[in-house]
Amino acid sequence: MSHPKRAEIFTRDAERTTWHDETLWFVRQKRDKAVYAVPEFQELRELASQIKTHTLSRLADYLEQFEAQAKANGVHVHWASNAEEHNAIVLDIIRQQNATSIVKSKSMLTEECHLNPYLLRHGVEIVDTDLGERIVQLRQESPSHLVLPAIHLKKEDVGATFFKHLGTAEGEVDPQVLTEAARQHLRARFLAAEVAISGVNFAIAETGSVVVCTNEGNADLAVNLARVHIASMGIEKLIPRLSDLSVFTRLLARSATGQPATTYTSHFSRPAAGKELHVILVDNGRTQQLGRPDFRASLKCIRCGACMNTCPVYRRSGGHSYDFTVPGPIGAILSPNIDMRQHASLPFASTLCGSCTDVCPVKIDIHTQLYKWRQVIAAADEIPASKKWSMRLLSRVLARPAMYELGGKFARTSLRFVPHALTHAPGYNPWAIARELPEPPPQSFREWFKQTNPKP
Amino acid sequence: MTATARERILAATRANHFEANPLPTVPQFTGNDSVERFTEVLQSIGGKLCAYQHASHWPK
Repeated sequence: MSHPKRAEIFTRDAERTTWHDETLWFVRQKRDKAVYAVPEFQELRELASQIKTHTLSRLADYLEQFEAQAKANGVHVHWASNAEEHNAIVLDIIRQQNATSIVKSKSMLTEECHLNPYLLRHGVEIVDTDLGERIVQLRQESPSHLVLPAIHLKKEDVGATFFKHLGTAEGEVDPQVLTEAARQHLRARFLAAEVAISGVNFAIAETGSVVVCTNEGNADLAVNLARVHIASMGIEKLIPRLSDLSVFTRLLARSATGQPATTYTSHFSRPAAGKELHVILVDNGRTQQLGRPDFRASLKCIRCGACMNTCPVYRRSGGHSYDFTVPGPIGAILSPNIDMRQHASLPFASTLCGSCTDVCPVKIDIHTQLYKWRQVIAAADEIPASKKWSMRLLSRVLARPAMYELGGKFARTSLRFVPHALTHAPGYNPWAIARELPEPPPQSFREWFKQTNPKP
Repeated sequence: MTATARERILAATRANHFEANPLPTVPQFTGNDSVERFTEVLQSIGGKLCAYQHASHWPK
């Protein structure tokens, strides 16, 4: 199903759409306030961009440096070319431990690899411990936002979910009561966990450490209680030096939620005594993206979600309309690299206003890449036939002034007589589903100009 | 012999290395008044700053 069709499902509930739009705009405003309070913010953005670009330019060297340091620290380092290999490595570690109780903190990579359903198919149940992720997991949904996975839900939805799965009172919608219920429910899972899986926000080549940023402390609780910690990371998460981290931690939380810093920024360098720390380095299409000069900058992404909060299309179409692990503008430039045919409609889910580029903390030229993907997709003949033929027709008309003038006259005349039901037929003119066509003017601008400015 | 995932990833990554800027130096950013900044952030989240010259001046 294409993005417009999925977006149509979301926008059927106008009240929810407006609420979603306003909520994310509120987060964008919080971001602005936090950013304006830091005079060197633009300098930090430029530094972050340069550090990431430099790292990508010699990524293999930094991967090897990271691996050597991590191994020297007693960390088990694994490599996975794709999602299947990643999932198999995780399952293998779980089976070696004879573990049955597994918890996971927020990790977009494991979502990307569809780890949860894979483990379930192999008889292993996994519990997401981030509150938003747990809510969507109970509802058998995917996260709709990178940082705010349940942002598409209202407290009434959460109340109904907890009533069904956690035994809260029917109709209970008090956020404090619901959060406490989740806390009690998750606490038992934390205490029983034998294996804890986490994502990775940054990996430092110089020290062989991984850094995990959360607000709930769930990752810290889980990995410190369990005897085995598995940290899954995309290979693009590397930064060269510990000193580079200070740039990114100042950008991440401000860009994501408008906070000065994430509540927890935890460094994992070596396993605690008697415990194991595994790091899985995952490619899953990243080296392919690295090989596309026009699109490799997308690998600089630090998953803050700022581009989503500011995007007028994302805010009014919801994260699930993208049908990709990473929704929003950044997802729309990452997804065609994974499967161009399946995600061909996503680079078109943008007004190209450039707001995403303006707020990106690592200065990814997101809207330029969206425009470039459109060209690649059109050249590969992956756009709908109706769009293809209408664009071809339009290019012919626009290239011929006489034909354009004639077409304009025809449209101005015919629109006065064609019935509204035809001009606004949803199957024929999706543009007009929520819009009215303007009243056809009696003459074109050119005709008006000639008439009002007659040649002497 | 089949290449390992490590070998495949490193080879694919190395094949796509490109010319780029050197690693920049991260400056200290010491130009800000940290007390003023702390106060601003504290107040923005609803806090109130109580400043005393010495611990002995703290209210009992």
